[in-house]
Amino acid sequence: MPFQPDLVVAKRNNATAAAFRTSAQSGDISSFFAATAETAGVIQSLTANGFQVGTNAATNTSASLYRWFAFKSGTNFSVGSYTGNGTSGLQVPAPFWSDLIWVKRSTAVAGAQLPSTLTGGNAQYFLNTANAAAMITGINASGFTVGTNTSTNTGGGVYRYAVWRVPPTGTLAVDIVDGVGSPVGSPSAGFSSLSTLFTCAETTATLGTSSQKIRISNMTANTNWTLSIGTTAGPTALWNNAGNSNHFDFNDMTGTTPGCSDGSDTDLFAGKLRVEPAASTLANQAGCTSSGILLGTNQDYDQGTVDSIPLIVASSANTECYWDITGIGLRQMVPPEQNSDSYTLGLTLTVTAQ
Amino acid sequence: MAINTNQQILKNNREQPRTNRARSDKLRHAKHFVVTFAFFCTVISLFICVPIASASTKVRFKQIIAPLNCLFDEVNDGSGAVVYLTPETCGTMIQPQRTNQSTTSTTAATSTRTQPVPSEYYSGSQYLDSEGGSASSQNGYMLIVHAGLVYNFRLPGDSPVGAPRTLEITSIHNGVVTITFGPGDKQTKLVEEQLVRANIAYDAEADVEVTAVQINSDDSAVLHVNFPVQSRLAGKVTGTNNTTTTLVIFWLLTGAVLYVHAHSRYRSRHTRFVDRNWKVEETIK
Repeated sequence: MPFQPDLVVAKRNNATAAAFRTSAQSGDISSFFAATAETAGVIQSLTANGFQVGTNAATNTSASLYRWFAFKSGTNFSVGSYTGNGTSGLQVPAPFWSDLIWVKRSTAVAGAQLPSTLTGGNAQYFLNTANAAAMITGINASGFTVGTNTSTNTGGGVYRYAVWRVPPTGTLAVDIVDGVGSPVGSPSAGFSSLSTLFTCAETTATLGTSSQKIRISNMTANTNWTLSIGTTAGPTALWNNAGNSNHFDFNDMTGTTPGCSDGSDTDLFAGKLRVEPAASTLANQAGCTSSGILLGTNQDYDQGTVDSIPLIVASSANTECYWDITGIGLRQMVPPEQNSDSYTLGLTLTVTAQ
Repeated sequence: MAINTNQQILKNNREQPRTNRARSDKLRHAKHFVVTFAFFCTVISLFICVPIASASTKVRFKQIIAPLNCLFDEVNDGSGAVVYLTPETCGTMIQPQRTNQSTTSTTAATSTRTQPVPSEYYSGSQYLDSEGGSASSQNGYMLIVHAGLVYNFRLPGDSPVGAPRTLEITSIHNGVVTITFGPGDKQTKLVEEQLVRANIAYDAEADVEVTAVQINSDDSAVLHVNFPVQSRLAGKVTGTNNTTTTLVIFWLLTGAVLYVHAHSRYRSRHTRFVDRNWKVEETIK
């Protein structure tokens, strides 16, 4: 075959039990779907371009015809092994939200499987046995959970598993949603009210609240992405009033007192905006984790230098999950004697696959 | 017919080389086009990146800046001394030091303003901040003025033993306040709501900001005076722990205030200044 397999399944063309072997099994040992213990001489090894069989009738009897298929681990397939603890809810790791799970104990215990289309808590045996509970009890973005059935979780028992998923066809998206997850029509963040002052003053706001949560939804297979925020109109944007007659800046760090006096940028306005994601709150969708997701560092916009501020960086994060971010601190320095008015600044949240 | 045919053949023969040349030219042009196109594609491909999946959504930040609400409380403590109070954000109120209490009036509407004689209202020089610091200058100073008043002050860096600088209210007439900075008699005019930045030290930056907060019909006015932090000072104070100690701004008051009224024993009058409009709202109790 054109690749080194991580799972090989073989079945003789007669009444002989099917066998399989995964790359998580070491030495000359293979498993059976039936209630048979692992044994040697079946599929002895997985090689760079195929597999080697022994003399077991399940894989190599003279003049017998065998059918086989194989998978290589990747973004949609994975294999592994675990040791049971006899406690319900044991989490077995897998790199994605699976659509099919196989589990087989190393001893003479029947194997089980759970397709994602089977809901309600039961799983299936490979053999002609009715579905049963407490075997494979749940699927999540980090793998699956098992109950206390001996097919999947006996204390000290060694189990082999293989998982598949239907390749994701969704998208990477960012939106602002309300408390029940519906998109917010005109999301906004309101800064603390301020009176015209003769001195420079700081106002604060929070981006991401319980009624306006930033939701990143990654329904792709890509585990790496970045969420950042920048002004919609680019680095030369200004806070503007409705009549576009009064302004102040958001990224002027070159004034005598940054944010309080106009600096060397091309406009005539002072002001600076600080975004503080470091202490924000990240909530993951049920069944997902925040593993691999890092909050950005607190930064000031600085024209030409910091025009976009990363809020979240995901590396090897869950896929087919969403996360809600709230509590991103915002601090705006308003220059002295700023005319009283209602000002707005347009921002754009962008999530980019890496 | 034959002749015609021959003529046609001759014609064709004559045109044959021309046709071949045309074909050759076409081929050359085509080859040139292919080479150029290939080169163009190669160059363009250098600038074409693999598209990166991204998505975005917009959010609007909102900031409301409300009018500055300065409420002047004029309190007569019963002993005849009048105290003016303002919110801290409006700046430090210049407190008149009167020695003569004969200038009170019964109501604001009918109040009579007595032209102050500096020696009658103030005795000696006075620091604005009794502790000698400059913290109160962060919000500037709110002055109630009329023509003839002179305020002495020093800028940071001025000699504490030299003659002070002066801000004189030269005139207030027809809604225009004329002020003169000394020494040098640098004069400027302000209308209500106008801000003037004056560079009286003749360096690179404005040293004094004066805003005509309100100009009253009785030719008195409320001015806000602010001293912006100078970049040369900002640079110096960067390495210190106490910036305020480096800014020694003090004033000597030689003239002062009016609006005399003791209609009520306590809190007799409120004047509300609203932002740049600085509307007057009076409540007489």
